[in-house]
Amino acid sequence: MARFLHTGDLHLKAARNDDSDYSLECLEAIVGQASRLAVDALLFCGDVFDREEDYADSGFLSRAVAILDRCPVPIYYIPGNHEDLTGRFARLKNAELGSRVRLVTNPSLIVHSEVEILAVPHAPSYESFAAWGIGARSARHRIAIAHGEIPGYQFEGDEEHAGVLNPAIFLHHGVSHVFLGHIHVAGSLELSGVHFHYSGSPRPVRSKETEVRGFNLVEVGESIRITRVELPEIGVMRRLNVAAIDPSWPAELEAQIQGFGPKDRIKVILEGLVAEDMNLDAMIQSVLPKLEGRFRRVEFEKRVEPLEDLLQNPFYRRIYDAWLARRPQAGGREHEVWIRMLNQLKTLKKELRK
Amino acid sequence: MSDFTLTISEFGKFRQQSFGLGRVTVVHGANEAGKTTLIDAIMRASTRFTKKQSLYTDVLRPRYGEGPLPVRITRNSDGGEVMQQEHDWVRDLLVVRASELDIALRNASVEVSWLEALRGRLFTGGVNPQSIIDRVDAMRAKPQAGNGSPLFESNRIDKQLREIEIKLEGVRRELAAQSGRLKKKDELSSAAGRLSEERGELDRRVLEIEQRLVLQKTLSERRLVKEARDRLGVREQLGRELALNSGLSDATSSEIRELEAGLRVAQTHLATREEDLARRRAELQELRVRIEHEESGLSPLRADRDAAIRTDAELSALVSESLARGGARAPVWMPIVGAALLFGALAVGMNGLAGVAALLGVVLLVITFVRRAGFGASQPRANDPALRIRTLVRIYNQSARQSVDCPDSSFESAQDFLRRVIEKCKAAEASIEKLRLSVESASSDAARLERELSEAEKTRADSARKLSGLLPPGIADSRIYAEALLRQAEVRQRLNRLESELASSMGHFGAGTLEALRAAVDDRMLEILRDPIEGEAASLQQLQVWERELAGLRARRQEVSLRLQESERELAVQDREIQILIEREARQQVALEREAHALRSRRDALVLQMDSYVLLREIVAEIDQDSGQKFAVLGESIEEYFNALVGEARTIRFSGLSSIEEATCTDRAGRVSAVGQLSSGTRDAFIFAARLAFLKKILTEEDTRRDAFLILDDPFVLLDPARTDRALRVLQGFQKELGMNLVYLTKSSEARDAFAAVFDDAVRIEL
Repeated sequence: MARFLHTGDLHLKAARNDDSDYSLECLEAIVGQASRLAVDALLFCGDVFDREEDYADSGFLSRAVAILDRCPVPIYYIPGNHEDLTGRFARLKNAELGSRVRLVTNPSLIVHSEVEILAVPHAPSYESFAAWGIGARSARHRIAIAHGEIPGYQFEGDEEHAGVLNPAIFLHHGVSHVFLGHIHVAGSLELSGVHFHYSGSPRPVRSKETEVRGFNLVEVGESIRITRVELPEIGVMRRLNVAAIDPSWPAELEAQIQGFGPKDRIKVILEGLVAEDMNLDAMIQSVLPKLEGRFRRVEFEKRVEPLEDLLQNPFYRRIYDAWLARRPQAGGREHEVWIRMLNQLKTLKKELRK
Repeated sequence: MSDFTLTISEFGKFRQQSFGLGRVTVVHGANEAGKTTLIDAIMRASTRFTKKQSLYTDVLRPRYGEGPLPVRITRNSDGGEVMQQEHDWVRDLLVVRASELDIALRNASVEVSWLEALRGRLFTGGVNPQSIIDRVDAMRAKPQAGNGSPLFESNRIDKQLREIEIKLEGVRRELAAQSGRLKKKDELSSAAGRLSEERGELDRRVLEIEQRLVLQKTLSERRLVKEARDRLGVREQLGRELALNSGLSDATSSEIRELEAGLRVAQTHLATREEDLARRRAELQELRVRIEHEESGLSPLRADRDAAIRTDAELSALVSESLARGGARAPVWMPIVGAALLFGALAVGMNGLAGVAALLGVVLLVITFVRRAGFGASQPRANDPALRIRTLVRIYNQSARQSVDCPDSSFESAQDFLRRVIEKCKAAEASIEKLRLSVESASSDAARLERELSEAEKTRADSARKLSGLLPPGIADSRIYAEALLRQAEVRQRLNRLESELASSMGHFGAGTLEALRAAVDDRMLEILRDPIEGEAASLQQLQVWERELAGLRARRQEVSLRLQESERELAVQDREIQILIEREARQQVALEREAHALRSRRDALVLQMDSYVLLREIVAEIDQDSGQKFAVLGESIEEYFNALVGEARTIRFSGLSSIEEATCTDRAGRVSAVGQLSSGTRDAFIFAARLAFLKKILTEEDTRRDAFLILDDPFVLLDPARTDRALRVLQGFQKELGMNLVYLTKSSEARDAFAAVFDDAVRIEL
């Protein structure tokens, strides 16, 4: 039986923010899992680096390569849409990625542990797939690694457009399972008899990626089995919506973050209406030092509107009091509805004035 | 004694001025004395407002400009400013003018009834809760563009999503339609794949064998090149010979060729004749030898014959003599029978008959002996015929070439024997004669051939002479010349062949390739030279196997290629079509899904918005219900104040709040009238009663409101003195009960005095 570790979308970042060290820590965790799970090879399905400047930074690249070289097994790496080999990104082809990495720059067939792996680097179009010169399947199993979008795959992320991988490509080449990168949330889909699997990003990259991170363990024997392996030590993205108008929101926030991990990244979204005389920035600055250091990263985002004279009216004041008394548990849809209610009140107030 | 100080600075007609205000203050002044300015100053100081609100936009700014309007009211007890009240509350309830008694209420909203508006002022901040509820209900029940319903946009998105779903269904159907083709294409692909694999394998094997063959052929070509080089050398040599042999005129050559041909004919003829002659000579010689041999054998025969003839003659004489003498020899049977009898008797014993037989036998033997020895005959021994015959045979044997045995001594036998000898001699002589004739004939032929040979020699000599006359200078021997001609023709033929082969070799390789091949082959040659000869032989054998295999493989490959080309052509067409369709459909599907995803996100946000409206409605409905309950309680208070104002007991009932007509008044006679239909004074009394009831309610619940100032600007000017008095009494009771600040302004000294009569501790201000 052959065992592969399927991952991708690490988006290693050189120096734009504190993601630099963290992204390398995640890479190290993945390499460590390769040893622990005794896999035969790693399948990196694109977007390992976030941008060209990340692998162009020799210092950062050498740190990444030092980790990659510690991997006990080969790493098959196809470029993703962030690593398009055309134009200015072409230098990835010449980047020194160490002794373990095999960068696949053209569609080609790799045979590893008696499994045929069709490696398909990202491309805007795959129309010419019939002319790739890939022979008929001669092993028991032929799988593929690729990067792009799949028709019919419903996802909720913010991933930009990438090349569309239709099942015909893989039917043509006799592939039964395709292991993909691009969508940062793990999931699977079966189309025309071909099974597509997204491993998701092993770390939270964008602020909406609140799911627990992990990768796929692919076992190829008599059949192909995919097991989800979670990486809680990597941490998760936490999004907290807070009603800014509520003066007690710092206490409410503190109650919400109880139980969060030190590697978690927390994004606090202050929403709704806020009184003009309420110095929200000052409140944030007083809260932030208490949170920083306890978590990997804490961010605040303000999505507030001025309260104006809404609460000067006793009736609106009564509404506000009643609203405040109805505070639901944070995190759910009811909470979102609750937060937005005052905004609707403000809208209605303006309309009623007309 | 004043409780408050109103400080006015540069406000209207007042510059730096202060007024002491009590819990109750009465201000008297003629028209234009400054009463309205004083009212505005109190409102300014005791009201919290924005520059968008009517107190500022409709009153203060038009009258006093956009300046800072420095006016304030401080408590004399602690110097602190009084608490400012909400703008709407002040405007609608705390300022009571007789001419505007209900106008302010009606101004609250042209859309709702005054009671509704009043309730809104009192309990819902001037907002009609029902309007919010109705609005939200309308959003839910009849979402449309104008009512700001999120559901309208959400429904529109739903419609778009349905359209997208229809498009997606179309895309999926199209994909499903392609699936059949895809399946067929897959089958073709599989077949083509198998063919391709087979061709790939064939290609690999062909390539492998071709490489081997190329290597071997290279070696062969190398040998060819070497041979070509050798031939070039030969060619050069032949060329040189040809050059030497050149120089003869074509005419001479032609004549020489003719002569040479004649010479060759003559030579051929001569040779034939020589051969014939030799053959004849050999035959002649052979005949002569045979003749000599036969003749040598004939001499004994002749001697035999002569001896036989003589013997025959002697025999004849002997016979005659014998016949003449008579006598005969014992018969043959006699000794035989005698011997038999004797030996038989000896065998059985000599007694009886056996003795007789033995005796008889002896007798017979004796007779035979006697007769044989001539005993008993009278002739001498020399005359015995048998003896003579034996003597003659002995003599014959001595003289004849061959000795013969005489069968017996009979005369007949001897004669027969002699006759055969004589016949044999005659046959020999006939044979000799025949040979002699042959020898003579052969001798004659030989002589003739000798003559012909001589003539042929002569003819050849003539031709040779003629030929030598035609030979070019320096060539003495025509044979050499003829050979040279033959050699020249041969050389030219070989040269042509060599040229052709060389041209073929050069054309096959090309000069550069040939040189490259030479270099490549040199290395290979070195390698081959190291190989054992057996290996080379084996490789040659293998080469043949490869050639055969290659031929088979090429044929198979050709077949496979044809099938593959056919499949690939079909596949290419299908591939292209399916690819374009699937790629397009896939992209369209992804685009539609993204669009649907964006729309769903937008719809979710709108639904969230709608839900938040619903939550708002829920809260507003609760407040509305609560305010309705409070308003119902107020009815009793209104009725109390109203009865006190009109001086009789009437019953006030509210059937609804949407219209003043829904407030009814029932008098003591039981007549029910809508409040709106009452006389203006009674209706004003009702509204004033309502104001007081509302104020009481508010001040009872919110103690901080007691700092507010109820400003009464000639409110009872339309009332008769009795109702005015009752109103002042009611107002007095209200003030005492609630401790509210009152400022009563009037231009009438009677009204001032009437007010002061009721409120004897009122602070008086005269403008």
